[in-house]
Amino acid sequence: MKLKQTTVLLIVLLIFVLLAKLIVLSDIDSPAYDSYYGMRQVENIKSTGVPIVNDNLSYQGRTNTLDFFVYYILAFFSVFVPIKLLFLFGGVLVGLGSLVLIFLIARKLYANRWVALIVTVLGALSTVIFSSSLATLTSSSLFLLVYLGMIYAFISFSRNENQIVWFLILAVVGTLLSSLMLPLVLAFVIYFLLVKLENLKTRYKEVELVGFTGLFVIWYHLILYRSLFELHGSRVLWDSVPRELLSVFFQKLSLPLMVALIGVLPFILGLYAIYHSLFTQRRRYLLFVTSLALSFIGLLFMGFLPVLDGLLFTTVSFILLSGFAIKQLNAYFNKMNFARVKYFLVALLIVLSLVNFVPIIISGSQIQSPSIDETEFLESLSLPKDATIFANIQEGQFISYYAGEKTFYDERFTLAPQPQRRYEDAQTIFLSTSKTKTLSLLNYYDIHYVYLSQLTRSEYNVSTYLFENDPCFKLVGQSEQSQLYEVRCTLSK
Amino acid sequence: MHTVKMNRNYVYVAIVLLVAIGFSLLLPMLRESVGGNYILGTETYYHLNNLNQPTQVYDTIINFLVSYFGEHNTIVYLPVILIFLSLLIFSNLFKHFLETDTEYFFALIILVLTPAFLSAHMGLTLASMILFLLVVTIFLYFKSSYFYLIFLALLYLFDPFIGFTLTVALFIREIVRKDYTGIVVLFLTLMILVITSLSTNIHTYFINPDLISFSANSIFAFFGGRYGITLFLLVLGIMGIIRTIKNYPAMVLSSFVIIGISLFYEPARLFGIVVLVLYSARALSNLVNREWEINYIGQLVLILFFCMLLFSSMTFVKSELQQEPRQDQIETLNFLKDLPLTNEAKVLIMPEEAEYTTYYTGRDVLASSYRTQEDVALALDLFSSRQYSFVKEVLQEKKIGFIVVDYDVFNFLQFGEEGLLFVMENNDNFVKVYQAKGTQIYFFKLWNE
Repeated sequence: MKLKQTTVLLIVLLIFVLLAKLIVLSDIDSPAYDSYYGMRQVENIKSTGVPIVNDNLSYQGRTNTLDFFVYYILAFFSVFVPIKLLFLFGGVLVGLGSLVLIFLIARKLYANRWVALIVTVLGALSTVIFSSSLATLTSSSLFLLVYLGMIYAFISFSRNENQIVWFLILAVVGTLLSSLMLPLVLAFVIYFLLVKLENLKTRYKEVELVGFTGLFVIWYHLILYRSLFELHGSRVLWDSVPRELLSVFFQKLSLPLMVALIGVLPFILGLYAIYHSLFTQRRRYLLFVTSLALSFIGLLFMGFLPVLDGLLFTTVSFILLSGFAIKQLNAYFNKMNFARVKYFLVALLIVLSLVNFVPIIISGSQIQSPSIDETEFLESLSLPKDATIFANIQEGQFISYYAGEKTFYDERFTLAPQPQRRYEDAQTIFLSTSKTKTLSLLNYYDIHYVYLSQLTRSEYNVSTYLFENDPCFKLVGQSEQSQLYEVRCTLSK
Repeated sequence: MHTVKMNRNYVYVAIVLLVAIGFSLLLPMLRESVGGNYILGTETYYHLNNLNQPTQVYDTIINFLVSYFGEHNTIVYLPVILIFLSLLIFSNLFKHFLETDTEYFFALIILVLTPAFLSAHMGLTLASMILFLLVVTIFLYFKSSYFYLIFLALLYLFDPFIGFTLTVALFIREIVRKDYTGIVVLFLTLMILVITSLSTNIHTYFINPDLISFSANSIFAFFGGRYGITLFLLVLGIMGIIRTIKNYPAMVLSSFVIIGISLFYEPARLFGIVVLVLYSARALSNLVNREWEINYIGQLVLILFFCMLLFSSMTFVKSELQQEPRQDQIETLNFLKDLPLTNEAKVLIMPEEAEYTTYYTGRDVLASSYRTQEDVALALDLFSSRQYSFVKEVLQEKKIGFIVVDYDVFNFLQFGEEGLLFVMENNDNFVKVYQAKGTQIYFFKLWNE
């Protein structure tokens, strides 16, 4: 069977991306820090058949949220692949699958394989999409596949009713996987509003399908988080993430930075498409993708979405939208005498995208993951039972995974005890120059050990003077990149 | 044909009454069998504690019933009677507002399975009495019987704001109908009620400020609201309103007013929910009879709504069965009751547990979530305070001799916080007199100084 040119080029692109990811991963020893909660859950499911609900280690004891579906799936795959390898390399397949789906969606949207290919190239060279599933496997990264699958099914089912079943299956899977289904439901609401405003004919099949999906998603989440809602009411929608973390993220997330992360080209082309879909074109599925972009941007800036997840899905939406501008440019150049100029422009587009992309591969990934040295060091620790280790917020689950010890806090805030208070106190412990203040907090929380890693030092510029020179802290273990200090003093009441 | 239709409606009503009575009678028994006691709802304890010094008309009625029929019979059978009568009257009233048998059946079933409606009829609740008087008044009014004025007056006695609002609503209706007799009668009734109320000081408030709240946490059941709107009612109610507004704009406008008031004023919330039930029934009937573009989606949607309705009821049943006080808590309170110390020494306990504490121990408490909010705030301040001087001053001023520290206190303080525990464990004026199953009781020696 003779393959089409675009298919061949797509395969070449996928191989390029695969090689690029493998090159980056060759420099990474372990899965990223955000993988370790998942790894703990998968290990527990493999050994006991059930996930960890009452977690004795995280936050020195807390209840986990009941979103375990993804870990059962990963536990199934871990039968064939070691857990560490699964989390380190599994994201590569997820990333490649996402690119294939982006191609299929763009081909459906713009009815042009070349436009779809260029859109896929933009997606492949996007730093956000490239980094999102690198050295990690979270429910968000798996949800990206489901999300793209649902978009494809939604824009296809008017011509192929089998896609309705796929849409429903993916909707259920997506709901069980991640709460990111909720922004998708919001996007559908925005879509129907825009359809009404544009005086387009309402397709009742779409309304029925989305109506059921939306209802199911909302009801499922109300059941899942019922105890949380009953305890904290509507505050839970806003107060899960410590305020300081929220403000830090959003201070850093300025518009220029967001544009740089999404990519200047996809951003401009996406904006162009949004403008036309709202004001000049009356194209149903362009409105749909516009709704996706509006939903994720809106929720991101209102603080309802984790920054990285929000950026990822916003980027994907803009990249899908950029195909509209590319198609228009293509049509424009075809009318001109200098039709070949378009090839030059495509090449320029790819070069500009590569400018952002290549530094990631050359300089190594910015993925924060622990080194072999740190993992071996933690595995070798033999601490008393019920000891608590204080470390950087990103390292909490990592330390629990390798050392099997309690940790002070980590990035899983939902249902955690006093995340706001703990975050503030942790800042004080790291940054305070007062020994009394530091000790009083360590004693208050019954912390026995302080773990100082390269990551902590670089993030907080932490001086180790207090720990190195004060008799209240004894160095009980160290490796090339990290030290463990025992807290030996107790302040009298 | 007419006979068949009538028989079918009777069957619907019979089914619904059976379900309602089943819930009302079985739940106390089930609760007792799982190691609790037959008393449901903390509000029941509040009214039982008020028997000797009734603070409202409802307490006087309960006092009367308890003295004649006994406490157990009153607590178990009064809600059964109220739910039975309310449903009978609703079954008659609904016919005026619904068009088909399907809508009628759905309305009754949804109402009887709505957690807010069930919750109001578990134990002794003012809301159930107000709802009953409200529907009796409306029923008799529509029957053109002047007996409605008696129930209107009773309603005013129980809750002046709701009584007044209903009177005004009926008054407006009479003006629209140009029924001058009705206008005069209602006007005179209102004047008599208001003057009587003002001159005899029956009511402390026209509208109780503690019952006014416009927060998502109390409006919606999924955020923890006791008489809250479920997702089922919210979605179907909105759909029903959209379907009805074109043909019956006046009815929808009146509904908005009722629902609007109910969002702000808790005793009226139940009636707002009944209005939503009517619209939900209409919407559900429409979904059942609709020609779906994707057939199996229609079936899935109906299954989903059915699951939502059942799930909310089952969740309600589960929470009622697990409600405090548990048997171990009653044992703790019995210990407190048997302590050889005068009953003047009050108890400091979490406000949500205050009423049943008073009931079982015979001792007064500092703060209850059913009484003044200032005392509630003071109690929470005490629990979270680490300053002995502040604690001592308040405990002596309020004559608090006992402090109960249990799981609810630890939950309030959250991990690592010690609050009042820190003070009590480091001061000789506090003596731990009880510790079992996570609950501690401290005695403050200087309570009477």
